[in-house]
Amino acid sequence: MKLVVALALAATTLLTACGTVRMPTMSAKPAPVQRAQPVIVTLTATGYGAVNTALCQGECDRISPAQRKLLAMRAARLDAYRAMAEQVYGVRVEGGSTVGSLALKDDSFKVYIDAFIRGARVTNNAQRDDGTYETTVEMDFDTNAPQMQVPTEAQASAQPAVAKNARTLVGNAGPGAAYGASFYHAQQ
Amino acid sequence: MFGGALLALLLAFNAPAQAAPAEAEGVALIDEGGAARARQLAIRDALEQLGLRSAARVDVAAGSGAKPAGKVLESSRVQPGAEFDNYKIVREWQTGQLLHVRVAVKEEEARPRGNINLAYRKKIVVTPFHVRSSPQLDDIDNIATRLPQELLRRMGETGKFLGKDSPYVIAPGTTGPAVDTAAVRRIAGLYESQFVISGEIIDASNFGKPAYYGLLKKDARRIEIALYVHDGLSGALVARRTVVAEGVGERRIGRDKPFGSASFAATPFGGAILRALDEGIAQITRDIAPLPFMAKVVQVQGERIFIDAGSTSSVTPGDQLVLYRADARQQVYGNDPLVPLGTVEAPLGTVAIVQVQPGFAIGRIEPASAAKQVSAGDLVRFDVAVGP
Repeated sequence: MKLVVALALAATTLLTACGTVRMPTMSAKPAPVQRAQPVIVTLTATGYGAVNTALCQGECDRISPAQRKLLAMRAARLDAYRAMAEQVYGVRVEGGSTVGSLALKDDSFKVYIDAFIRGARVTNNAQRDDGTYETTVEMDFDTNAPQMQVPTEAQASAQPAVAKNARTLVGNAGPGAAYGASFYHAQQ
Repeated sequence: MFGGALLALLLAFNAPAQAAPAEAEGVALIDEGGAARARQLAIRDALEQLGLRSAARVDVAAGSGAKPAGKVLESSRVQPGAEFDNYKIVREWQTGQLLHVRVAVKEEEARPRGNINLAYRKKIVVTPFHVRSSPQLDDIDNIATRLPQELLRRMGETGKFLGKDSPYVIAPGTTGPAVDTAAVRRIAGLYESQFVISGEIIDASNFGKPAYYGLLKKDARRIEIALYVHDGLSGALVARRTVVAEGVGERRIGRDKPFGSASFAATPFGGAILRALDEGIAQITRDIAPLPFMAKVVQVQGERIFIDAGSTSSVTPGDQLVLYRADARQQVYGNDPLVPLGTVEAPLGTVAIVQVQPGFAIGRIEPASAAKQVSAGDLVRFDVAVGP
């Protein structure tokens, strides 16, 4: 048996010399990707932060009113960025409209976003009549920019100055992922 | 990894070549630390704003779709994805107790923060591995404990886990992973860990690997390692992975080569074991990724609660997590009257983190009225739930 295999190997080696080697042509260039014209819209998102003066069982003196004000301002700022991310990636359902989020297809209640928002600037930060703080952020946004992809070097250089990139996290691997984020607690 | 690479690309290729300086106003309280301390805090506040403007990393667990009856409790985390080494103070002034500092930076000098501090580090504990046939491994120095320790070290290097190793063994079941959920929970509680990783070395035998179209056989050795990931809260098995690797050539390692060392890795079989380990780590990391980050309440003071995860777990001020009451009086039992299946949980509200230290973090409960119901042993998670 081994002799047959050895003979077959030798014959194959000799016959390979008769083959034609086809060289790849250098002129074959990938077709240029057709990119839609950028459509820039300015998105605005507002966040709120409350000055926490609620019942705190005698512990309120630990934080001064001025410090509480700063905490509320920061909370409002972070909330505004969060609101911007939700707006860009379409988490909020308003007026009964549907959302094409990958996560929503799998789970109608839980939505997870893991996103980078680039170029969102604070345009307003003010105290409201009820004492809460309101922060507004604004971002120029290209509605035609590709989503949900990691740009390659070439693609990244061709990206518009204002880019949107994100991924929506859902369970996607292994036995643990079968439980997903609803593993610990899920309810109707 | 993904996020860091993406951010680096965005910053590298999308930043305008000569952008105008960006400015932000930071504010801080002048307290016992004096004006110098307030100035530092105000600068830090301004730089955080500028980092957010360059790239904000936003993680949200939110409710959507069907409208639930109660209030939706959501988790969120917003962090600057970029930072600046150089800045210029444009203006500085004081209003009452507050110090304001206006800071300018060049946007093109934004540096990605990397991924290390952007994602939560989940706490894990590894136990010694069970060796099914110990004579096969008499040439390796104490593989049962050294392998899990190396696993822990390598998992820690990914930046996604914070680990401890336990001397307590979880006995495997007859067909693989442990069935003793109580033991898993005890170990998780003892080491304040969300996940317990145990394992088994199933095979490390020698064999003849066919070479040259079966004309010859080369000396080789195979290792088969099973990794079991258990949830520390329930004791449930959440992932089971088996990795197999082969080493051709010299089959013995030698007890003089410490497990995981360079001399160990240089041997064909040692290299094969470490490759198998890396493959297993990649698999269980993917398995654990979708399960939400969790920590335990360890102390309650009024409306402030203390959780057992801090800056080493990458918790940061401003994070918002969902708070669950784990009522010890509502334990649920199955057939075994001694080992509970779990505890009934009820979402109470959210916790906004206000202060972080390496081993713990302090958060404020919202609504404050829920603070009366919270006690040590309750849980916080990066999750979304329907409140009362």
